Amino acid sequence: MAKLEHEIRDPIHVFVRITNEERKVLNSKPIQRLRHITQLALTYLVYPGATHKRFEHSVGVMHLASSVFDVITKPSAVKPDVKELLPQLGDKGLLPYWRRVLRFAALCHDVGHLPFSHAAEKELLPQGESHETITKKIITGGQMQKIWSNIEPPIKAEDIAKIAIGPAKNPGVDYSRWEVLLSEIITGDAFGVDRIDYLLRDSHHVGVPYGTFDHYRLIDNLRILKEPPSDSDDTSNGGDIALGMEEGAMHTAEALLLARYFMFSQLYYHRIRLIYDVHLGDFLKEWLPAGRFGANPDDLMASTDNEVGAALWRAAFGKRRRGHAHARRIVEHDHFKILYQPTPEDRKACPEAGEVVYKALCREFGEEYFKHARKRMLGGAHDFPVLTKLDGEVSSSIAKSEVLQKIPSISVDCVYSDPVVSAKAQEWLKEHRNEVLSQEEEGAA
Amino acid sequence: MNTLQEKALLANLVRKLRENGSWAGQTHVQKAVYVLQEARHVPMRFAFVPHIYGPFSFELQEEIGELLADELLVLEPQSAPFRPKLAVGELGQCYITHFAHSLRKHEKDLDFVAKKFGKRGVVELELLTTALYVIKNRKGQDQDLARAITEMKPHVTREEAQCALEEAKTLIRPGAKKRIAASAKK
Repeated sequence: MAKLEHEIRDPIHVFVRITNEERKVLNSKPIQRLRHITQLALTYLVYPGATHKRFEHSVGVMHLASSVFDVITKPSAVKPDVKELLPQLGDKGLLPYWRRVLRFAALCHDVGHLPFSHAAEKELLPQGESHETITKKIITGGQMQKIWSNIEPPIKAEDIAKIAIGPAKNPGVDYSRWEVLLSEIITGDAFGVDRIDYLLRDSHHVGVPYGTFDHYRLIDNLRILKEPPSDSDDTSNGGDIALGMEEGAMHTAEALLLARYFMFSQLYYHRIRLIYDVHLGDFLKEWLPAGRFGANPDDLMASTDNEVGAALWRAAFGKRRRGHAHARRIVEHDHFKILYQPTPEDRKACPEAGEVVYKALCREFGEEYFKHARKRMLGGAHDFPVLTKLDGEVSSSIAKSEVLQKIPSISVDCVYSDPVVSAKAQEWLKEHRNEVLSQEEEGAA
Repeated sequence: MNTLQEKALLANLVRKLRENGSWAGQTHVQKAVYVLQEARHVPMRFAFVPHIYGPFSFELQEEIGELLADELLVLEPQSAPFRPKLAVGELGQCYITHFAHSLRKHEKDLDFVAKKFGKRGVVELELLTTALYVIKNRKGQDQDLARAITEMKPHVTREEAQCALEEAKTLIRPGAKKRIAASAKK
C-alpha cells in the first residue's frame, strides 16, 4: 500500500513528516532549486560549516509553522475574547484548510531568493522587486499552479502567497485579521518560525552555541492574544490581536531574543562576512548582463549558487573575465580590511559618520580603494502581548521583562579599504578625522 | 527631504509629542506622521494602508525600527499592562540640533500636530485619522463619508463619525485642500 506520509531526517527537528501533497510541492523545481542556494551566502569563508542550504530551512519552517498552529488553535488555549474576533477558530471545517495553506506557505516562503540569498538584493533586482515579490510570482505562477490545481481538496495559490509573504511586503493586498495572524506565524518579528528555524539551524551548522534556546517550551506556550493597551486612555481593550505568550514561559522568549542579538552581532553582521557580501555584490554587478538579475521567475529558476560560483571561480583566474577583480578578492581571501568604524562621539558630531568618512576617503584616494557597509538589526523592539499568571490580563512584554528592556540594538557602520592603501589612508584619516566629521554639510548624505 | 532630515524630523516629532503630553507610543507616532504627510503636506515618503487601528505604514514601522537600532529613539518601559513610550535618545537630540535649519521649515506643522494630538489617546486618534483617510480616498457627501467610516469601524456610531469628519477637516492645511479633493476624485 502506498504511503500517505513520509519522513525527512533533519538535524534540528529530527523527523519532519510530510504528506503526499506536500511531497509533490517539495519535488517541484522552485523548492528543489533551494538545495542549491546557501542559507548564509559566503559566510562559509569565515565559518566553514555555514554551507547549509535554504531547502532544509524551508522544510524546518514548514514543520514549525504547523507546530505553532496546532498549539494556538487548540480550543483550551483560546480565550473567549479572541474567539470573538477570530471566528475561524471555531470553524472546525475551515481550520484544516488553513493549516494546509500555512504549511505550503512556510515551505514556499523563500522560493524567490536570488543566488547567495540576501547579498546585495536591492541593487541586483529591478526597482520595486524583492525576493518577496518574486516568491509571490512563483507561488501563483503557471508551474506551481499545475501542482495546486491537482491537490485535493482544492487550495488557492493566492492564499498561500499571502501567508508566505505577509502584509508588510505585499502592498495593495487586503489581509483579514486571520490572515495577518497566519502570516505572523511565519514572518513575525517576535515569534516567526522563519526566525526560530534559522537561529537554531545556523547556530548548529556554523558551530556557535549562541543561537540555541528552548524552542519546545516556547512554542508550547504561544497564544493568540489581544494587544495590550497603547496608553492609559486606551479603552478599546486592544482591538488588535497578535502572537503572544504565557507569562510562565517568558524566559524562553527572552532566550530567543538574546539568541537573536548574539547571532546578529557575532555571525550575521560579522565584519568580514559583510565585506564578502560587498565583494560578491560588486562581482555580480559586473558579471550579470545589464548588471542585474531579471525578475522573471523562469529565468531565476535557472540561476543558483552553482552557476554563480562557477563563474566566480573562472573570473578569479581569468584577468579578462568580467568581474575578475572582485572574484579574485573572494577566491584568494584578499578582501578589503576594516579602516574605520565611528565611535559614539563621532556619531554625535556627524550623524552618518561612516558614509561621510567613506566619501572623503574616496575623494582623496579614489573610490576603487574603499567600500562601505551599513547594517541595522530591525524588529528589535520586543513588544508582544503576555498573558499574566495572576489575573489572566494581557500586558506588554516590555512592562513585564527587565531582560527585554535591556537587550541592546545593533547598528553596524564600517568603512573598508584595499590593503594597498590602508596604511596611507589610516594616516590621512588620523590627521583629517575631525575636519572631515565637522565639515559635513546639512543634508549632504 | 533626504533620509537623514526625515530621521531628524521624526525624532523632533517624538520630542514635541512628549512635550505636549502625548504618550508617544508607536501608534501615536504613526497617526501623527499620517496627518503631517497627508494633511499638512510635510514631504515624507511613507505609504499608508487602512488598518484595524486606522491608517498604518509598514515603511514607517521599519523606519522607527531603524531609529531605535541607531538609538535616535529609545523605548521607555511603562508599568504593566501598558506598551512602552518612545523618547528621543541622545543621538536623536544631536540629529535635531544638526538638522535644525531644515527642521525649521516644518516647525509650525509639527507644533500644530503635536498640540492637537498631545492630550489624545489612540482610540480618538484612530477615529480621527480614519476620517482623514476617508476624506482623502472616498468620494461623496459628508453622510456618505460618515457611512464609510462606520463600515470600516463598526463600533463607531454615525454621530461620532460625523464629528470626526468635521474635526479631520480642520487638520488639513489651507492650500492642501485642493490637492486632497483632487486625490479623492482619482
